[in-house]
Amino acid sequence: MNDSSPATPPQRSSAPVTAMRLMDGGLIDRSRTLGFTFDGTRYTGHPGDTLASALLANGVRLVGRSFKYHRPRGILTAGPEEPNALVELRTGARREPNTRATTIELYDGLVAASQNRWPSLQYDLLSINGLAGPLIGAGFYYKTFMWPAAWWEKVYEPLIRRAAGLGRASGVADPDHYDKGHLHCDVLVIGAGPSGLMAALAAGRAGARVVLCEEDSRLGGRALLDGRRIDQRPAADWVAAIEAELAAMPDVRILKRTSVVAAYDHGTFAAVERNNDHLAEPPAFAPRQTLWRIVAQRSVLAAGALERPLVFPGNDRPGVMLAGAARAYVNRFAVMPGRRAVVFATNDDAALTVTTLAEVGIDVAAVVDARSEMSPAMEAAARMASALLITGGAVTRVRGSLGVEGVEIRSADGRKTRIACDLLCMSGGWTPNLHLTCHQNNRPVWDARLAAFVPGNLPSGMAVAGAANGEMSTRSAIMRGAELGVAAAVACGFRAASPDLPPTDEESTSSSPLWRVTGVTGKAFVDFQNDVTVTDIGLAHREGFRSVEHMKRYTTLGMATDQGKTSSINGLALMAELTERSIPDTGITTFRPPYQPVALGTLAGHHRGKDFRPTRLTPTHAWAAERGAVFVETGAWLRAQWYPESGERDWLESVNREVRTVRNAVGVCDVSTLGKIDVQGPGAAGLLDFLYANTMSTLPVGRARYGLMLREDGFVMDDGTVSRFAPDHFVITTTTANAAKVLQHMEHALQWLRPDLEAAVVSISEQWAQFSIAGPRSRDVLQRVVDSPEAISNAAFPFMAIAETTVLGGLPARLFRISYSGELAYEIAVAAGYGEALIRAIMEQGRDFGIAPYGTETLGVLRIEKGHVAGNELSGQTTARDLGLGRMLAKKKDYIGRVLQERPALLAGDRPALVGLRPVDTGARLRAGAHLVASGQEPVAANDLGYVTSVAFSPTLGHWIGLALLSGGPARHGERVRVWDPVRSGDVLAEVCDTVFVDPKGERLHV
Amino acid sequence: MSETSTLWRPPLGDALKIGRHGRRVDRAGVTVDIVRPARAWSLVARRGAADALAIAAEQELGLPWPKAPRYAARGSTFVVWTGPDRWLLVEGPAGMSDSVRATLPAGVTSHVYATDQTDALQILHLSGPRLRDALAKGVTIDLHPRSFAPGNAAITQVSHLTVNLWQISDDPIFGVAVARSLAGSFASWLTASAAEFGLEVRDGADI
Amino acid sequence: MRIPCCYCGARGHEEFTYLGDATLARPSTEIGAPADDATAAAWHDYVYVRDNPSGRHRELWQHTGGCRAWLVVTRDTRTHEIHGVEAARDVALAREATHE
Ligand SMILES: [Zn+2]
Repeated sequence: MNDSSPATPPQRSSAPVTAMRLMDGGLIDRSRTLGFTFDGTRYTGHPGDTLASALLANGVRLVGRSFKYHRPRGILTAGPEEPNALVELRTGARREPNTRATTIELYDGLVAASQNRWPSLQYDLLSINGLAGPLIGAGFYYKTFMWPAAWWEKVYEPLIRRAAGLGRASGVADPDHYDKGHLHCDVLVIGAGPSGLMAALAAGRAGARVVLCEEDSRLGGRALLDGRRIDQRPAADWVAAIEAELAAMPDVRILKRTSVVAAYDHGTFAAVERNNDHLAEPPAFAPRQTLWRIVAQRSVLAAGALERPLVFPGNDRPGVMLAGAARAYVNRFAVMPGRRAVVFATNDDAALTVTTLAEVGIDVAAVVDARSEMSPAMEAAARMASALLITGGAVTRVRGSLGVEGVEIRSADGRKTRIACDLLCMSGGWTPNLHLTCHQNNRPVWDARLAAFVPGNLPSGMAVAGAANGEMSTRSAIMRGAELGVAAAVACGFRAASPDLPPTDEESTSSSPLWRVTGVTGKAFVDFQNDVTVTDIGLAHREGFRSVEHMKRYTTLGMATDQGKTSSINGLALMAELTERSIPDTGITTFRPPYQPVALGTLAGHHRGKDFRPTRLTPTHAWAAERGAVFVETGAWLRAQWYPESGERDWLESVNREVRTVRNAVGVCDVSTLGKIDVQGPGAAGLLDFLYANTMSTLPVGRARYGLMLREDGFVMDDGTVSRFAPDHFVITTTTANAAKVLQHMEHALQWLRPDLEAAVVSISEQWAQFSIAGPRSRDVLQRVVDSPEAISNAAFPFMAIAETTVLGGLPARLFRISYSGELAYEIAVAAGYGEALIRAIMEQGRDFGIAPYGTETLGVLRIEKGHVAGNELSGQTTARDLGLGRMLAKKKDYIGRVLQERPALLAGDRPALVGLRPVDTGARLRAGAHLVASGQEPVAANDLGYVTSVAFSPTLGHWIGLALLSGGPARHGERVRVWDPVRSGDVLAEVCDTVFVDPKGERLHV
Repeated sequence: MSETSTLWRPPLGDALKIGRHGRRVDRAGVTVDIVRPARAWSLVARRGAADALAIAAEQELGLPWPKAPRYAARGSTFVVWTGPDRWLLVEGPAGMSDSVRATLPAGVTSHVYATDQTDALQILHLSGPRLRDALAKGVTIDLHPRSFAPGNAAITQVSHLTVNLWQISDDPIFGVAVARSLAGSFASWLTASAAEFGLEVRDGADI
Repeated sequence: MRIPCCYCGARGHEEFTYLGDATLARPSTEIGAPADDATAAAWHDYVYVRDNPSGRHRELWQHTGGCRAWLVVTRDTRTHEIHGVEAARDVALAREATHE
C-alpha cells in the first residue's frame, strides 16, 4: 500500500453547485434549471446537458447493469459509441429501451430508468450470473440450453430473457409521427468537427450545394470537447463563427442531430435526423424523426475517431472512463467526472486529459503510461498536474464493486502500487471511424504507424478527412478538410479556393498499442455491451472459432446495439495474438448499414396503418361504403366483397342471395379494377396478334373476343377481352391482378421485340368506370339507362357485340355484351367521374327487376359455376391446353409462347388439366388447396394426382363445387377421387366432371 | 350536357377537404388548389410525326411543344411531356364543364393517337413558402431551383405512387397529376407532410 | 443505385423494373413447322439460359415509375457502375435495320 499524495494541484475558482458541477465553463446554460428523474430519484441539470453529464454532475456513477453478468456499469464515453449507459427513456407508449445516456439531451421532466436490474440497481440478485460466469461464457446460447429440448420454451427462454437482455419495449403503438425526406446536394459532409467544418466552408464558399450532417446537437465535434484553442480563441468560438457563416449561405443545409447511417451506390446516403427526440414529446404535427435519403455528387467523410478502451481486470467498473470522455465532461459540460483520478494510457493524447482534469481541481494521483519509453508530453502533463508518472506501467486491478475506489498499478519493474481514486481514465489510442467507407464492400487497410485500420478503397465520390482518415491532430484535420472541400466543389464544377487555415495548438499524437494487460486475473472486458471478456475470446479460439467472423458470432463480440464501436479492434487484436497472426492477416469483420441503430418507425415513416401502401379506390367506393359493403384488398385495390342485407347471418348467406339474384333476375358489379388498355395505330392488330395466342386481326369492328396471353415459355400469363372499335383502335382488358404486368409486357413487345409495329398503348384503367350488369333482366335494366334502347335489342346487339353509345341523357359510354357469369350480361363503361351516378341510376332503374349489387365473392361463385379460369388457375404453371383452351391456339401466326408450349412434356397426357369436381355426398364441403388421389388410394405423395384450385358453394346447384388440376384431366370425367385436405382434416369423395356446372350449352348468353 | 355535369364526382371525394389543416399559422406553408380540367388527353405521336406535331401544336394551340420532360401553357391549356413521343394535354381548369368531350384541333389530331384521360387524373396546383420542404418528404427528385425550374416536368414516384409533376412558376407553383384511384392516398400523404407547415386547401375556382 | 434514364435523368433504382440480358435475340422460326432440335435448343437458350457475367453487362430495364421507356443499361455487375443507357427502342430499330 503506497498511496501517493501529490501536492495540491492548481485550483480554478470552481465550487460545485450540484455535487460535481463546476462553477463556470462548459457549454451549458446555468440560467435555467431542468428537473429530471432517474430510477425515481429527482435531480437537476441545465440546458446543454446530456443525461449522462447531468447524472455525473449529481454524483451518479452507477447507471445500469450489464447484459449477461448484471455487473454494475457506469458511463464509459461522452458520445454515441456508449456501450454501458443504456437506459429506458420516457414512460408509457413512448418508453424507449437501450437509449444511450450520453446522447440524450436533457429536457425538463425527463424520466429515465436503468435496465437489467432486479430488484434494484444497487442490489441486483441476478448478478450471481457473475458467479455462474462459466455457464454463460462464450457460446452459451449454443451449449448450455440444448437439453432437454422441451425446456427451451418453458424454462430456458424465459430465464435467459430475464437474466440477459437489453431493456423492455413499450408494448404499445408508437404515438409519434415519423417522416421521410429527400435531399440532393453537390457535396455531403458527414461530421462537423474541425475537418468537416472546413470542408463544408470551402465547398459552401465556392457556391456548391452542401449538406452538413452532425450527429450531435451542436457543431464542433471534438473541438467542443478537448478545450484546445483554434484561431487563437477558444475552439467553441471558432466553431460558432464558422457555423454562422455556413448558416447564412442559402445553399448550405446544416442537419444537426443527424446520423448518416448508410452509404449506398452512386452517392446515395441514408441519414436519421432526431428532430424532436430532445423534447418530452414532439410539437403538434412535427415529426419525431426523419429518415433522409441524401443524393450527393461528392461526399466528405469527417466522422472522427473513436477512443479504444484498455483491457484489464475490472475495466468495466463505474468510474472507469475513456480519457477523451473525461475531459469532454469537464470542457463541454462543466462536470467533474471524479475527484481523484488515475490516467492509464498508451498515447500522448491522454496528456490533455491529465492537464484538463488538473486545471479544474481534480486530483490526478497517477499517470500510468503503458509505453516503455518516457514520453515528453506525458511527462510534462504529469508534472503540471503534480501526478506520479509511471512509465511502462499497467493497471492490473480495480478496487470497488459499485464504483472505482482504487487501482493496483504494476510498474515496469513488476512492483505493485495501490492508489485510491474514484476515476480511472483509460486510453488505448484512437480508431478512425470509417464505418461508412465500407458499406459498399470496401475493406479498410491496416496502418501500422497508427496501429489502426484506416479507410481503404472508397465508395465512388467519397473522400475522407481528419481523424476518420487517421489524421489525428486538429491541424491536420483542418488542412485536410479544407483541401477535400475544395476538391469536392471543383469536381462538381465550381471554382473553389481554400479558406485561410486557422492557427492551432501544438499537439503530439504519438501512440503505441497495448491490446491487453497480461499476467493478470479477473474479468477483463473487451465488449462491454455484450459482456465479452478476454477469457471468452480464448475459449472461442480453443474451440476452433478462429476466423474473425466466427469469433464474432460465437462470442457475440460486436453484435450488440453498439456494433462493437469500442470493442472490435481490441477483439481482433486478441484473436490475432491467440492465432499468432498479424492483425491485418486476422482480418476485420464486415461493416454493414446501419451505422447506428434505426427505429423501425423511422424506416416506416408515413407508411404505417392504412398508409402502409397506397390504396386504390374504385369509382363507386363511396357508394358501396354507404351501402355497408364489406371490402377486400385485391392488390392495391379495395373492392366490395359482398353487400350484406339486414337479417343475413354470415357472408355465405349474402353471397348465395347475390348469386341467385344474378341467375334469376339481375345484378350489378363494379369491375373498374380490370386493367383497360387502349391500343391504336396501324400496327395495333399486328401487335395484338403477336401478344395473344389467338388471332385478333380477324376480329370485326364492333365485336369483342376472349383472348389468352402466354409467356414466352408457353405458360398462360393472363386472359381478358379484346374489343375492336375501329380498324386501328382496340380496347383490351386484363385481370385486376395482372394489369400492370400486362401493360409492361405490351410495352416490352412494342419497344423491344417488335419495333416495326406502329401502335400506341395507353392505360385507360383510371379513365373508365366499368360495371357488369348480369342476369336475365339485365337488358331490361340497361334499356332504361341507355339513350337508345332499341339499339341494344338482342338482334341489334348480339352476344360479343360492342358499341359506343350514350347514357343518362348524353353521357358517352362504351357498351360490351360480354359475360363472365354465363348469364345474359353487359359491361358498361363511363368516364370515372360519372361512375357513381351511373351505378345509382342502374340501381334505381333496376329496382323493378329486383336488381342487387354483388361483390367479388359472388363474381367468384358465378365464374366457378361456369368453369371460367381466374388467378387460381392462371398460376404460371398452366398451359392453354391444361385449362381446356387448346382450341384457341392460332396455327398460322407467330405469337409469344408459340414455340415452347409445344414442348413434349407440356403435351403429355398425364399433365394436370382442368376438371370440375362435385362431392358424392352433396352435403360435403370441398376445400381449395386439397390434394387429389384416386378413390381407395393412400393419400401419400406418390399417389398425388393434382389439387383443387377453386371452390364455391353453388346456390344454383345446392352443393359445393370445385375446379381442379387433375392428372389426365377431362379423360377422367366420371371417375371418383379422394379430396384430401390434411391441413383442415378434410377427406371427401368427389366425382370428376365437366368444368361447366351451369348452362353447359351457353344458351343463356344469347337470349 | 349541362344537366349531367352535376352528376360528376371529383377523384378526391372527401379525401382533401377545403379549408385549413395541420398547424395553425397565419399564412399556410403549403397551399393546394384543386383543379378540375375541362378535358385531358394522353397523346402519342404517330410514327415520324413528332416534328410536324410540334409545328401544328404551336400554330393551332399556341403551345411551344415540349420534346423533353417539360411543361408549356397558354391560357388555361397546357401540355406536359409524359414520355418519349408522349404528352398529357389539358384544357381547363373549368369549374362548370359539360360532359361532352370536345375534339382536338384537326391539325393536331392527324399527328397523334389521342386517348381521353379527363377523368383519369386528379390535378392539383401546389404553392406556398414551405412547398419544397413538404414535397421533399415524398418526391425523390431534386426540386432545387438550380435543378428544376419553371417549365420543367417529371414523371416520378411520390410516396410509392406515380405522379406527373411540373413547375408552373418560380413562386413556386407546381402542378401535379395523380391517378384518380390513388388520389386519396396521395392526399393522405400530402396532408401529413404539409401538416407541420400548415396546409390550406382551396377549390381551384378560386385561383 | 441510381440509373440515368436517357429521357428523365438519374433516378433511384426503385423507379425501374429489371428484366435481364439485353444481348439475347428472339429466335425466328417458321410458322406451322414442327420444331427441330436446333430450333428447340435455340428457344431453350433464349428463354432459360443466362450468363452471369462478372463485369459489364448489357441489360434491359424499364423506367416503370417514370417515362415507361424500356432501356438498355450497361452496368458493371461488380461495382454497379453504369457505363451507358440507351433507349431500347432505338437499339431494337438498329438491330432490325442490320437484319434487313
Ligand atoms: Zn425515364
